[in-house]
Formats: sequence, structure tokens, C-alpha cells
Amino acid sequence: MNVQHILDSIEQTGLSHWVMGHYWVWPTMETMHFVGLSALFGGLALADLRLIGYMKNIPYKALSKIIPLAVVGFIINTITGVLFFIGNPHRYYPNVAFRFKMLCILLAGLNLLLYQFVVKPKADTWGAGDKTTWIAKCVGVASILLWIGVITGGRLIPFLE
Amino acid sequence: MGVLEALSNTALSRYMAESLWGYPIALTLHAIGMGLLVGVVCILNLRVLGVFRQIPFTGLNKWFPVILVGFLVNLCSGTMLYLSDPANLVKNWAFDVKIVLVVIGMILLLAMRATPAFKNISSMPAAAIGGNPSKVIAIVSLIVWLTAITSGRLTGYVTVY
Repeated sequence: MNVQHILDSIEQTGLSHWVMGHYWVWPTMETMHFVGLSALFGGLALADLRLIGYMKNIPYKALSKIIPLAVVGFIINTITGVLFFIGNPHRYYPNVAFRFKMLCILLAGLNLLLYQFVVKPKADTWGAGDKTTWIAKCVGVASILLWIGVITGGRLIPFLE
Repeated sequence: MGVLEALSNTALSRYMAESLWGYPIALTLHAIGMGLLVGVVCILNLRVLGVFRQIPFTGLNKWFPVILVGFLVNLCSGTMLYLSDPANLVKNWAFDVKIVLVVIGMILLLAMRATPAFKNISSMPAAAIGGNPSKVIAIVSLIVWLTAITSGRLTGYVTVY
């Protein structure tokens, strides 16, 4: 069973027909994907900016309370994104921009591990006015750049077909 | 010669209509700016309403420059996108609705800054929530920005005859 067969069988599912068979499904999911993007990128940008050293008057742990909202955005976008793929698997799988986007998400996930186990334990102790560390700055910059990469890859999918 | 025709004869408009990369680059910047602008504005509104109350109210002052960056990115990229097809976009009702909503959203943001809670922000207690004027603005603003994203997305689906 090669990849083409897998893509074929995805395309033949009822879910795929549902996504492609109603004129309103695609624009509705796109709108949700954009709302999810805003929650995800807006929330992470604020937390990352604090890691980089902006708005030091906010204790990091307090600011990090917005991260669950970014996670909600990620979940919305995973669901709608998987539905896009199921609707049109032969369009997305070979697309260079789509692959770049998936690579950026994977790297953002690895960066998140670095955040969770190395940066967060220390950052949670930063009160108002406390300086950041070089590794926190690196993780914050990498996060912003990788999510910009994700948005860029997604936006370029229709132009690199 | 009409204004729209004059606009579409400018060098930037011809570049946006004819170049291979002008349009996709502007579109990508528009999605990044949207994430920053709408994401941070909505999180600000939620904080005013009492969500994420651990974030000290005084710290919200530092979010306005972040929002401004998102807005400027989208003002520039949006102007470029508009110039790619000035004559047809003005006939697109979804586009008109979106522009009106973005203008209202930005006026609401200025109104938010003028409310007592934000005028006296440096003396607000850390766990403060917005007063009634700020809360009403926050609710309307959340609705306006989510509707703006929706109408922006629909702009690509409305057929102009």
C-alpha cells in the first residue's frame, strides 16, 4: 500500500465527500482556521515577547495564563486543517508550501519541548522587572519565527501548486 | 479619468496585479498582521472582562504598541492587496463590510484607551477589571473583530459581476 493508495482511500471517505460536497463547508472552516490562527499567534506572540524581554513589568507566570487560549487556537486549527487535508488529500500531500508548513509546526513542537523543560521552570519565577536569560530569548525568537513560517507556508499553498 | 482608474494605473497597482510574488507576499503579511492585531486585541478585551486576571492591569499598557505593529503591517499589506484590483473590490459587499468593521474596531480600541480604567492605568490595582464603559467596548470589539475576519474571508468568495 503506497502513499497514493492511502490518499485515494482518504478521498473516498464520506467525510471527504462531506467537506467537498457543500459550498459552505470550506469557507466556514477557513474562517475558523483564521480565528484559531489569531488566538494561537496572538497568544504566543505576547508570551514570546516577555521571554525576549519586552513588557518586563508583567510577571512571566501571570502572562503565561494566556497560553491555554493559544492551545485552543491550535486545536481549532488542527481539526479544521485535518478536514482540509481529508477533503483534498491529493492537493495537499505533494504541495511544497504545505510540507514547509508541516515542517515548521514540527520544529515549533520541538521548540516547545525546550520551552517546557528548560525555559518555563525558570521563567515561572520571574517577577515584575526581572530580566530574561539568553536561552529564553532564543526560544522566544525561534517560536515567533517558526509560527510566522507556519502562516507563510499555509498562505502560499494555493500559489505553489 | 475616474479615481479607480487612476489608482489602477499607478506603478504599485500594476506591480500588484502583474508580478508573480507581489500578491502572495502581501497576502502572507496580511495573515501575520491579522494574527497579531486580532489576537492581541481579543486577549486585551478578555482581560478587561476579567479573564486572565493574574496579568496585572498596568501591564496592558505595553500591549498597545504590539497591536499597532499588527495594524500597520495590515494597513500596508491591505493597501497593496486592494491595489491589485481596485475597481472590483469596491463592488464586493464583503470587502466593504470588512473595511467598515476594521475602522469601527480601531475606533473602539481608541475609545478603550480613553475609558477611566485606561486613563488611570498606572494607579489601577493589579487584579482590576475594566469599568462598565471598558467592558461594553470589550464585548462589542470581540464581536466586531470576529465578524471582520469572517467578512474578510468571504471577500474571496463573493462573485463580482
